[in-house]
Amino acid sequence: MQVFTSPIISLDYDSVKKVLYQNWDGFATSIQFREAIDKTVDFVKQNPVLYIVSNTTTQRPVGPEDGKYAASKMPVLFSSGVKAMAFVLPKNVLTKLALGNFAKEQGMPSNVRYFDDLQEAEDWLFTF
Amino acid sequence: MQTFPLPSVYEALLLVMQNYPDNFNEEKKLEVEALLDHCIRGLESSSEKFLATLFIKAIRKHIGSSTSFEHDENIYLRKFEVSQIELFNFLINEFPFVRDAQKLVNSSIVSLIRGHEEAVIMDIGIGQGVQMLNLLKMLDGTEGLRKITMIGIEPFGDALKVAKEKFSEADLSFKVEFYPICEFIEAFDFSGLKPILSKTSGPLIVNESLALHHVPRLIDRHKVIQCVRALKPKAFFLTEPNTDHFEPDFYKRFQNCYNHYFHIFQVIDTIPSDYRVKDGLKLFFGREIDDVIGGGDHDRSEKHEPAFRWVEKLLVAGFVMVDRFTGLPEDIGHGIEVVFNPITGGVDFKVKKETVLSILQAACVN
Repeated sequence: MQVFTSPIISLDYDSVKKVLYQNWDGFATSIQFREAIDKTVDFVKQNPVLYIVSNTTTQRPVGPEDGKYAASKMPVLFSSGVKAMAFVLPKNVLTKLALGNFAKEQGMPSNVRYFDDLQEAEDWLFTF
Repeated sequence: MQTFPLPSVYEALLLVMQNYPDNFNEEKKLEVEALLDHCIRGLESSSEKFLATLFIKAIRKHIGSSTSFEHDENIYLRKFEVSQIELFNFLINEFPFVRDAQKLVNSSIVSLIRGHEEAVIMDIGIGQGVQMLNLLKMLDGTEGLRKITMIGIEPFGDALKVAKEKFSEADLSFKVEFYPICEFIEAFDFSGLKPILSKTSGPLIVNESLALHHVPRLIDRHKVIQCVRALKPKAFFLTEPNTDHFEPDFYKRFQNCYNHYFHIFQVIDTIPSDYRVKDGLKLFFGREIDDVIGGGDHDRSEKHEPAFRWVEKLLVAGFVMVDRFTGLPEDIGHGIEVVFNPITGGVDFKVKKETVLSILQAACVN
């Protein structure tokens, strides 16, 4: 079920598996990016989301301040019931660096991991 | 804690630089910011990140930076600044490229002067006369040597005053007559040397160390070398960085520039000095990177050329390359190899496969 869409993201929820999928695409302005983060947080607060898959395969880089903003929202996600979160790594070199910066920012807890493809990410998530 | 493999900083920098000059839209600017953010984290412990930050600083000068980004690399880098005088002394006395290259040139000049009662040395870009003072000290006590005529050409008058003071204070076994000429070499009228040279005897040796690449135009570089040739010197020594920063294509120039300074930074990392001085030195080279990357074609001053191009100019002017180097060091450490280059006829200071600096010696056959 699609719960939110914008030019840079599609938020899809699998109510059976309790997985929220963030499917990012392309370049996001700061406003667009933060809106997508806020929509994710709002949905997680109001629904029984156990897992999140953030698919950044075709995402373009996010600015450092926006990366920090996203990292600051991670504790809210976990305190709202999320057990684990998997990222599918971007193809773009600079997006990968930006994601690396984000990972350092939020400290990379053991229930957050990074994968090269979606299948691997899902396989790992459902071990929680 | 899980990590994932990150691309190399160089790989990312290559992508960023492909957008030069006018493809830096908001998205591409954000890429620059992301890369800068990555580099600034752990910059102190990574030479590669330090170098990339200097390149980003240069490119941001061109594109302007995002106002939302809290990192101002200028503020961040400022903490690595070391006083100019401390850096200058360090470069001359400790930095192997400068120290050992000048030592080699000076030893070679001494061997050419030995046996003569008088000699004339003309130094293009003499600065404060540090290399020439070291040369005079090496010549001190040379049997039969009575007088050295020193001609120093230098655009900065204050530096010339310092050089003059140093030479006059030196306690030497021979007389030194110093002629300071405050002029850019490309603007200098060489016929003005006639009255000086007519009063002297002995061999004329011309030296330039890291000076000729500051002559902006190729035509003027040729002209200067031809004017030197017309003086019929016994030897003309050139010490120049071996890289192509004259290259008009920005992307190629960036690659040349990165490769050159990457190897210099590798050497800086091996110097037994504290991080304060090493980082200060890297920042010092950052100003050159700023010039090569951030400067427009007409106002750039660090227009280095590879050694073979200087050889071409020397040959066109009627010089021949000679291998009369004395005191070729066997091992100067820091991963630098000093080797004779049969193609240029000069001596290369190499780090791995990269020749960072070349010394050339040209002479006149008639």
